[in-house]
Amino acid sequence: MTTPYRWYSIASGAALLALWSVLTLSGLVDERSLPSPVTLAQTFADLLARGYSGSPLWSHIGISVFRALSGFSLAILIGVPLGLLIGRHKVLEAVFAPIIGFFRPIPPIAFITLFVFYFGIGEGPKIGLIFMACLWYVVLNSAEGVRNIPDLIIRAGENIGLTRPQLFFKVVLPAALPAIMTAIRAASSISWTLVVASELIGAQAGLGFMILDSAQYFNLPVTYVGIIIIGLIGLVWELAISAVQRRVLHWQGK
Amino acid sequence: MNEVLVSKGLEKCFPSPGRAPGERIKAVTDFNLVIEAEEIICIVGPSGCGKSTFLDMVAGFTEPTSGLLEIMGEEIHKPSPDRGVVFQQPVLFPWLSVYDNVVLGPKSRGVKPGDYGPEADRVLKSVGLEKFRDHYPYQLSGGMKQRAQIARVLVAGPKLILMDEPFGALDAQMRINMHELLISVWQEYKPTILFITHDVEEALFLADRVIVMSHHPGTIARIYDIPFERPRTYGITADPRFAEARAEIVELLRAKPEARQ
Repeated sequence: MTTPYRWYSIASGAALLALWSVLTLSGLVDERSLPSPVTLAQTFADLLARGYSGSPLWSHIGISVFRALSGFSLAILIGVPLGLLIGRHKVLEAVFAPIIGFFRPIPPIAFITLFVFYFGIGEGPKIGLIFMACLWYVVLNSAEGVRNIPDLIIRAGENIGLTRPQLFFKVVLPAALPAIMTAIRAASSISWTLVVASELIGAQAGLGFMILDSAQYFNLPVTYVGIIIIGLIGLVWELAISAVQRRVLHWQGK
Repeated sequence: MNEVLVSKGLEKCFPSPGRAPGERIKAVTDFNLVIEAEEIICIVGPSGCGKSTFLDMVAGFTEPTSGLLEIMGEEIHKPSPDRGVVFQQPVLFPWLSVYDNVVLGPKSRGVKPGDYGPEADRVLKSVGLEKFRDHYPYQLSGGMKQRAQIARVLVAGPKLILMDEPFGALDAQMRINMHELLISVWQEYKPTILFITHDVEEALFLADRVIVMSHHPGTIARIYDIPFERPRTYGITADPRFAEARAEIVELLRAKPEARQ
């Protein structure tokens, strides 16, 4: 964001906070249905000190981040090479097209009960769900990245005498990198979004568990604090990935 | 004389969409040409006449349908840095610096850094990019990108340099600068160059021989020997023989195929 406009963002954020404070602290809105910022601050301090449901707050945060990162990383590790191969080989593309075409449009949440049936309620099904949801994006974007590489740049690589493996690692891979980074970015936000859904599968800890559990007991301040923590972590994660993207793709000159 | 490139009875056909299956278009046919060492050959012709198809075959990007195509006695089957191409579009690897673009080829072929390093420095200096070796392609102007492509080709010490309308996208002033640069590069390295263009003046200024191609069939209509001494300067464009040759070639390019013989 450029500097002259930053003040508008700060102002709109501050206005929202002010409106929320006025509505809740003045009693216009019932504190039981919308907690005030002060209540949330107290709740946060309380969660920090005493934890939730027998586990400290950081372990709820830690387990959610662990699940999201595991599913996300697996999807990158398997999806990027698979996508690059599919983008480069017509036969593989033809083999995988119907599989991906069928599974991709199904909302991953639809698989939750099946995952529990097959894999139980451990870490496996949660990470598996996140992995599966991210995988299609990573595979499709990476494949698309390879397909969109201009013919001429491949010719240039052949012309300077690169062998086929060299052509793949020194031309195809870097040329597809912008698309791969886009896929990684999309997958990162999907993985974080799905943490809450995956923690529906009989979780005993995690931020998703915390907000679901607290809402069931009408402990709304905890629910709100949980949602705010999820939002902030998502924001930091997004910023970190953008920073990596800018570094890795500095040669795009953007 | 040293024959660098020999093309005899060369033909290239493509399957033609929209026509009967099996019926094929002859893009290049009966193409006979011998290029001698250190020559600059310019091919001019209307667009679609097959000049780029010929260059693609020499580069090894596509195989001829029939006929003979040899570089220093060896048949051409695949691309090689022996036949470095300067593309019309500035095809550099955008994720590599100018220097790394130039050395990627030799490095990948296993040339020692002690050998390709000084050579890369030399060619970058020859094309006037020595101060831009650490720049990335997005930081370069159109002319500088073409210089970088020339450096990338030169560093391999090619038997033949193939240039496919390399200055077509540049503005007039930049194009003149690039012509002068190419002349000076030629003075220094004495490479053999096959240069494709649709700009008759460019061809006359650069070439030892100008090949005029015809459309349907895509073959050589005429070959002009260009008599001007090297090193050339832009002064020759004022020479009456220059104007005369230009008028003649332009007329030939405008002529209907049946009126040509």
